[in-house]
Amino acid sequence: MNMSYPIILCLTCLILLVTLYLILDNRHNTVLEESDLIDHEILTDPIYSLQDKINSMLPILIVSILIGIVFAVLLQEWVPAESWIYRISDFIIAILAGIPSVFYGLLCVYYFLLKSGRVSYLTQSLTVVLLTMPIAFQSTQNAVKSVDVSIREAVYALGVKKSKVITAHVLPHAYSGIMSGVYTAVSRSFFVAGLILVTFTWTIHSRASFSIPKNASVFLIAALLCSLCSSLLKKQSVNTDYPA
Amino acid sequence: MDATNYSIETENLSLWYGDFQALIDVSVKIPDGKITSLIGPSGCGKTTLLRCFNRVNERYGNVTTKGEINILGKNIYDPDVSLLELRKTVGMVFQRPNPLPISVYDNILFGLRIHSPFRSLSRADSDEIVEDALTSVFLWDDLKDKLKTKATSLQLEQQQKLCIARLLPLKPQIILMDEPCSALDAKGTLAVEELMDVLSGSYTFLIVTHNMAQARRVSTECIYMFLGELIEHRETQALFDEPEHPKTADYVQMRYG
Repeated sequence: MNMSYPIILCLTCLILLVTLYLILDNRHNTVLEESDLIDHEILTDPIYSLQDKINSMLPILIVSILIGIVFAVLLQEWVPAESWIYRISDFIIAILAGIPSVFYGLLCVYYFLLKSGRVSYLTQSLTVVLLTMPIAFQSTQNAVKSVDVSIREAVYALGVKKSKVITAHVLPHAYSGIMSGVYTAVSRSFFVAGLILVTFTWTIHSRASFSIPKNASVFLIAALLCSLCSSLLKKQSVNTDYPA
Repeated sequence: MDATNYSIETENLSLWYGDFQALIDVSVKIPDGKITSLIGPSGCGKTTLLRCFNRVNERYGNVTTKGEINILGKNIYDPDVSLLELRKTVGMVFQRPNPLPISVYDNILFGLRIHSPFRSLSRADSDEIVEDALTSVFLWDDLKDKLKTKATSLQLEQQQKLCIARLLPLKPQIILMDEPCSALDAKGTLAVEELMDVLSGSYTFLIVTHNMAQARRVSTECIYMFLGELIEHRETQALFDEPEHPKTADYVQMRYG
């Protein structure tokens, strides 16, 4: 943990700088014209497109949350906490989960929509995965970690296989923690979808150029910083002790 | 070699946690159907030795074992030994009562349900097993109306007895106890000791205890360990009254530390 602290700081700074650059860089500002985007139902008919979006994105949402949960259980139960694979995945997920959801939305819009002029299925899917997977992962990991060690030991001492211990004892008792993570993840993705719909509808109707004003970016960066710190500190404070 | 009289025999058992040697050439024979206690100062390897017998130590990784452990005449490190069967035969009770946070009824059936094929236990069988297990630990009268309550809401003494009852449906032959009474009050301690006394005919008990009076009260044989080595193993009365080894004498007469 001592070694990883400087790395965490460096990476955090790096991410902040990149974000700062993206947000303040106004070269790519494009004035959105209704005619440019007329074929996008998302902008012309929000209600219809909502149905459409949910139909196309729901499978991705479910799969990405499931992957997060399964990955967390596998990592927590089968990979020793000292191994590099555990540390790296843990760290990357902490960073991903620490980024406020609005940033994913903005990056999606900035990079993929404005630069390529259209929203591809892959882009949307990637955003949904980035939004939900880390949250599902983290809450599952914490829920699994918090299942009482002494009880788990008692179950092992009854001669129960590891996989059985996990399905019959650990998962049922981590259930509420996992479900709370699932709801948070879903709400995160819905929140971003809603936010982007609002922003875009407004941008189109006012024929404004899509850019983030400087004063807003200050708030966004502050939010990012606080959120990342909170996420990383939470990681540091989680007790990963093994019983003697 | 007459293996039937001894439930557990170890031959030059050594164990390392990483570089630290926790057990040094321990050779011990635990008699069948009796209560044997393990005493010694903290960190002397009592619990480690106890945990070797159902191989829960291995869960922590970084553990190296050398030597032989024969349980009921079979070396438990043989490749054909099923870890699950071993743990069924050698039950374990922990320091802090740790019933599962489910109902009393489900606690007792937990092990059995996992070990038997899906839905093979009938309702009537289950009821009978629960009643038998609770009766043998003297909890049936107290708990027969509370079978559906959460086990973690019981009194500590009842919880610890329930932890013993939970082992019984799996028909263990040896029960390992790691300071089973240290979380209990005097009345609870006495109750658990009585229970062990009654059950000792049908099961072999091995108990780690810090309480010398308890070792004296409950056990037939007593083992004194010091810094990973087995110092003395004799009948309890003899070990306490005329210890052969000066280190044992220091400990049992409270001159140690």
